Amino acid sequence: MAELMYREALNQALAEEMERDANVFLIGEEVGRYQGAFKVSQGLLDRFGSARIIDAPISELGFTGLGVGAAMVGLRPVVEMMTWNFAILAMDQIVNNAAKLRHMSGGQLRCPIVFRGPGGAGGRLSSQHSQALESTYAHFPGLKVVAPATPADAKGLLKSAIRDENPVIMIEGERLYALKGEVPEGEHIVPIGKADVKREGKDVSLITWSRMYYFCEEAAKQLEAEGISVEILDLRTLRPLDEEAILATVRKTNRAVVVEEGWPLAGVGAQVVDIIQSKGFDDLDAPVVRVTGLDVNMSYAANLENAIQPDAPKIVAAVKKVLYREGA
Amino acid sequence: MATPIQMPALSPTMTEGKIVKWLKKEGDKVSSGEAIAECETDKSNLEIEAYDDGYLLKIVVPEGEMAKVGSPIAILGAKGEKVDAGAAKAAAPAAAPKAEAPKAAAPAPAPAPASAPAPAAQPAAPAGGGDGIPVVMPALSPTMTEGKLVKWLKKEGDKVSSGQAIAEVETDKSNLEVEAYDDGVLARIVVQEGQMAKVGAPIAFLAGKGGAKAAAPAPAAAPQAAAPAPAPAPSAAPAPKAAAPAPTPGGRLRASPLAKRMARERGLDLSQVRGSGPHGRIVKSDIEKALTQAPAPAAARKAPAVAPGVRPEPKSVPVTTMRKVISQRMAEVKPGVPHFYLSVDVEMDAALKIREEAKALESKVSVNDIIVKASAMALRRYPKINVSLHGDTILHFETVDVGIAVAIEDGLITPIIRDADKKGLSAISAEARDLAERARKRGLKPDEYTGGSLTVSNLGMYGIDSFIAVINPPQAAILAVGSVSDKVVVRDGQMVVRKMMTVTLSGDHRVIDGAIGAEYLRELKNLLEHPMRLLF
Repeated sequence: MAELMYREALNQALAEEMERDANVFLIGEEVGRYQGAFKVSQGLLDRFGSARIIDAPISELGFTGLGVGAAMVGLRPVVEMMTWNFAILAMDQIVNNAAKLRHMSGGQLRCPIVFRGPGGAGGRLSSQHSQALESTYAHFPGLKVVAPATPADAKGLLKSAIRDENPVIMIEGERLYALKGEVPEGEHIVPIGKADVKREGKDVSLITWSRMYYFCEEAAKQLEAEGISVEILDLRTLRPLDEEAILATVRKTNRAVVVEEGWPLAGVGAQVVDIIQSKGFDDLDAPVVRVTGLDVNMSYAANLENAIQPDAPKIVAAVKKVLYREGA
Repeated sequence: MATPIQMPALSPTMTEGKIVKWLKKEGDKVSSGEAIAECETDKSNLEIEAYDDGYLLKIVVPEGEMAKVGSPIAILGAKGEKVDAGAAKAAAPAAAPKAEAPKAAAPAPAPAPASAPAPAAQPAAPAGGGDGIPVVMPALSPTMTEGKLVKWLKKEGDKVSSGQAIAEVETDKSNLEVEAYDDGVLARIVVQEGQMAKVGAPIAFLAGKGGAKAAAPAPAAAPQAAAPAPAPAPSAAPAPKAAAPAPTPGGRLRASPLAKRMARERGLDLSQVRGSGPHGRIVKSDIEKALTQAPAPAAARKAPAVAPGVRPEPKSVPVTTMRKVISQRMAEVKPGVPHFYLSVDVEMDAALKIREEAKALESKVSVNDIIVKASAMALRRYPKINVSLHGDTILHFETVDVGIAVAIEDGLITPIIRDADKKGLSAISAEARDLAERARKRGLKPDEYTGGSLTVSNLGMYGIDSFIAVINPPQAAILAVGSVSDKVVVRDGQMVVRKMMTVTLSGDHRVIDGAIGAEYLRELKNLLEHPMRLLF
């Protein structure tokens, strides 16, 4: 199996889907001649031409609307946001049109479109460029939201997203693009709505997604050394949430820590806790603990940026808290 | 001047009532004698009347809420008079509930025992509001202070309508159904099957039509409620006594949901488990530890029941609700009610003949049925026995209702044959059989076992010649009936063999004198010996 970078896996998925279906096209800022702000679309302009790899001006609301219109008439657009922070400009198209077209037209219109781009803190880009906005999009019925952690999941989920008949939000980890991992070649599909147990364990479940998965792995290794067996559930899809997988891991370990990069209030993690307490109450041996980004705007300074985000030591502390081993 | 309208005592056993509906609203003019609210008592729904003219200034107890007898439910006063609710509540009189019957409606004809232990004053169920509508353990019999939830007929999430049976409850007397008094959804069951709850304590919460969620508070249930139901499974290994539970602040037992579930499934008493979590919270590992320390049930069974030289300890079995009430009441009545006893031998040959004749007519009549009929007719003729003492008042009953003592598995109960003096033998016989059968199945309704005038207790079928019975309060007399057997008696100077039966009357000497009792017994003897008189 080839070892690819996260961006290469995405590129492969795009190329394969464009090859497979002539209705698929990519539009966004710098996706063509510049080969993608994060080089996800490298080589695609040469391969598929400017009719299908379309450079858009800085006009998020405009080109997102173009994508929604194209989807309505039967094409399968992939709209690249330079970052999800900029997609806020296009919220009306995403939320009021894409998410609601099927409903507003009484099922007559479909909107098979993918909105994708990097999210989360990027490394000293300050507050306007460092937001984990998953919960914002996961809030809206009509949208599906995926957030892969590994190159293989990135490829598999993007292919599923492109083939989905509904608008899919794909939030890629900005700091994951250069991360390498094994990626199956050719037809590799990861179904939307299926979480993945990335690490088996028996004492506590870490439930997370995207970049936070790597902090969880780091924490799990430390905890393993202390004799604590950690299970990691990578949600991969944030809407719809894989309730069965969440409940299954809690049934197994009876204790859970939910880790997310975003802010605590109304975060996706809050929804996960709700599922656990309302449907898995009798399997709980301790209250669920959440590790989230701090409830502040992201700092520019590197030390503060790190302090604001979850990391392995914070996760280790949370695990010890749910295991009643504080200070141990 | 603003005066409080108090919750009246609308039945002899009522200690609190629920305001079902306000018939007037704040600001309305009310006149003396006018019905202002509908109230649910322990027996039925009745109207509350105003006793003064005025304006309804303030409703203190909203619809759906309970109020103790004597506590203010509304404030009446002059038009526009200011009154604040706090002061209104503070105006609650310390006075004991008045047993005075309201003008509105007479209480149920059958007087309920005044000496019966009143249900322990429970804190009223939490008010509706955001907690949902509480379904409280009702007082299903005059002596009931707590009840066991036998079965839930609805489950959480089910829709219920007012009047619909939602649970089956075992009282001290019988198993009865608990009805919902509101429409809604059964949002939360507080008292689980097999658990006890005091009268007035919430057993469940309904989410009302408005969708009020039931974030139910902890139940004010009996302490047993916290303990798991005794698990019949053999795996119910006793918790190790060695692991003394950690003291918990406030006496609350802390355990994780998982630990609770495990304990429930394995029949483990959580109070015997030491918790290792914060504040002594019991967690999964504590349960696992407790289970491994507990003696293996299989091994325990194989071991010899008694080691040589060791005498077995007595087995302790908790008293049933019925036995508890019987023991309380008997302990109260024997020193509390001065008994006198009168015995008489009755020749039963003629009465038994009736029985034979009835048999020929394919009508089943027992000796007891004949005694019930005769005792009822004697009561009609000697109404001074048909009384009951209530404090400073003697109740003289207008009807003759005879109780028949029925022994059942956990104790005994005395269903009533109403108007037994007016009923024919076959009617009494059929009714007695039906009541006794349902009594054994705990299927009697409260009005079928409350309010009798006199009880017939017959131990003749056990070969008992004669015995003395303890009065069943608030009745004033009980007849103890022995067996019918051949005895040599003297008639006209000759020794003859007759079917003889000894009847002993126990009377409440506070209201019945010996001579009255003697007259009554004479009449009874006469009726039984000349059963033709039963027809007249």
